[in-house]
Amino acid sequence: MNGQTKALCLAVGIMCFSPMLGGTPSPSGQQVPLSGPATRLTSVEYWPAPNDKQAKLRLDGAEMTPLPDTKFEVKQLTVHAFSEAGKLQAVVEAPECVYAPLDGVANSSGHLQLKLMDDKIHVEGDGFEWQQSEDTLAISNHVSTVIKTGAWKFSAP
Amino acid sequence: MRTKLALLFVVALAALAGAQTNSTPAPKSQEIYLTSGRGFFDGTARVVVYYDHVVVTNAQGRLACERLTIHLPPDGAPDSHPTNAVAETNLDVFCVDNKGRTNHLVADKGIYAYGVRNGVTNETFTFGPHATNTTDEGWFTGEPLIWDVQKTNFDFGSGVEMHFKVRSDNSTSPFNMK
Repeated sequence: MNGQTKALCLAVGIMCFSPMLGGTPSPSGQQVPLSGPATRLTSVEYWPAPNDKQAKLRLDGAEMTPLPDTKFEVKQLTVHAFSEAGKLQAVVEAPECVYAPLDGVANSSGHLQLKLMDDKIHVEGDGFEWQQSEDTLAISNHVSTVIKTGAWKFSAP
Repeated sequence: MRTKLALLFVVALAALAGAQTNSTPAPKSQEIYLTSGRGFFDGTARVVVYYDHVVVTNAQGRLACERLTIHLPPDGAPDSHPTNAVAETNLDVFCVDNKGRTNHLVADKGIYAYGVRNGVTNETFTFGPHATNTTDEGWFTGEPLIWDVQKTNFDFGSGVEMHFKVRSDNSTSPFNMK
């Protein structure tokens, strides 16, 4: 497991268990049982030093329910990704997904929206799997992209 | 999701907007639509692949194929421009060029290549095998057909075949037949 995976697992661990722990991150969060759903969850992952006060990812979920095998069902997931300079780069929204923090995998048969560059690029699709350690995202159905751009130049034949 | 993946999306989709050099004036704003059955985005390999009935449209044209693969330069490269894109299987391009002429190009495959060497930009689309471009004035083939974006002209490989309509006034015949 690489450093980023560990960081995200820890972040998800915090997100999962902070309602039970009064918001205190647990270094052994993966071991803490969560017996019921938790609501209004937020987790922030930071850039490494020297920008370690700058958020890299902010994950919000309306509700998280534990599933077997250390997986979690997340409702109304929203992820904001920031640059090291603090500029918002991407917003991901999924009404629901299953997240396996130990595997670094999130997937869903449901809808996915991805907004980039102040929504100048808008991607949607149905069914997705994100492999965090592999840094891959697969959208399995109905991929649709709209690019609002002034950069189009078409001098092709 | 990770910023790296997000940046990959940005650069890849910018590639779909066509080849853009810094020296060209900014054209008017418009939207580009891309639909496909599936999409796969690999932030480590820096590859974006769209599968299954891929269609890219804008106000000037439409590109359809079954698979569109976009390769991006390595992390930290001074130029974030995509280096290579490949449209495969049943490639069908319909577009209106800068002079208002319609073009309908079909081929098994189309390869976009971009690179800068010694300050010179090389940017080409290579179509083939079985590439045919049909315009208002006729049609032509080549194995391959190579469109040079910088020179704005076609280069032809072997198997060149050209069929043009001769206009009644002969003023714009591509063969200068007078």
